[in-house]
Amino acid sequence: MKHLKIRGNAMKDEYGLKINAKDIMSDDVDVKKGAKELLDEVEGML
Amino acid sequence: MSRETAYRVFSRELNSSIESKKGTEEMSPSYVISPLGTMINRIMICGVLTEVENAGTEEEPMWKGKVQDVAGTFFISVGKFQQEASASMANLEAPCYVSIIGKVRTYTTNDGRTFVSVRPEHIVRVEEDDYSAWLLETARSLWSRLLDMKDILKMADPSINDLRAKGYTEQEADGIKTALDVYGAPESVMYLKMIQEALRRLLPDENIDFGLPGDAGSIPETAEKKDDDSSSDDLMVEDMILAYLDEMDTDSRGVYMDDLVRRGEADGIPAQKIESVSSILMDKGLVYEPNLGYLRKI
Repeated sequence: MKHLKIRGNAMKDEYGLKINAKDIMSDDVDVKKGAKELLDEVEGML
Repeated sequence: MSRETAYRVFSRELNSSIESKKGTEEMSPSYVISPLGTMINRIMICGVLTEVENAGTEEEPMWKGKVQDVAGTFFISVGKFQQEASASMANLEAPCYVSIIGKVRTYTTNDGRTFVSVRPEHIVRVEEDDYSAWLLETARSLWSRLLDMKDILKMADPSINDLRAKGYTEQEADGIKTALDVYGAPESVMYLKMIQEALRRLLPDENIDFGLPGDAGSIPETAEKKDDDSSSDDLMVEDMILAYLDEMDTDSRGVYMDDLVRRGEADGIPAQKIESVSSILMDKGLVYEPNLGYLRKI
């Protein structure tokens, strides 16, 4: 499974939202960094 | 008709969703309404496939399966009309990480109990990193919905129009209003525990303890810090059970639970503790039951 970043024009019609893609690139998710940010946010609220 | 969003929710939130809204017109979508007000038609889940079984025939298979995340178990059912998913199920061998996009179904028994299952449209084998990415995305989504609900609970008996005025779409407002009417104010501690479990899994080197009380409260002000060391005890026993499984599972078929209990008792751990911590490990997706009464590491 790959995470992708897509750039393009979005349009919405009766079938929902569509993107006409101009660029598609792989997007590496930094899970540890994201988890740390979420942890800080949750702990900040408790 | 627009495509329904594939929501990310943990198994426990999904399995506690007993309210549904059936489509009234031909081809109109049906929804399961979660206690946090999410109207779910399609879902994206990820976790460990722990069981897979063909309850039908070879010609007309009916696949049943269980997928474990940090919060519990998703129940999977694939019939003959989901040909792609059915073919995928035939090639999967538990345990393995899977990701599924599918529709949510509810079934209510004569005595009023409601069961929720997922009917996959697509099911693929994935790696642990993909599971981690899903955990993070799902935990973020849950946190965001908890914060929304915290804001909404400040309003006295909000109407759909009140919610629309706060910027929610008609569908979101409908889901939130229905959830508040049917389930009441959500049990925030339970949801915070799910986020805590996900973060513990994602950040194993951090000592994450939200200090949540055992009972329900509103979010997040009433979540009080707890002053005991039972969770660190549990973590120690978790490590010991995992070490026992490494040591005792010599034929890769799992360890008989009674043998595991005896091994723990020899080290001074009470049988009840071994059993309760084994359940925690199953909930975390670290072990599973290959057969009734056996435990094996994933």
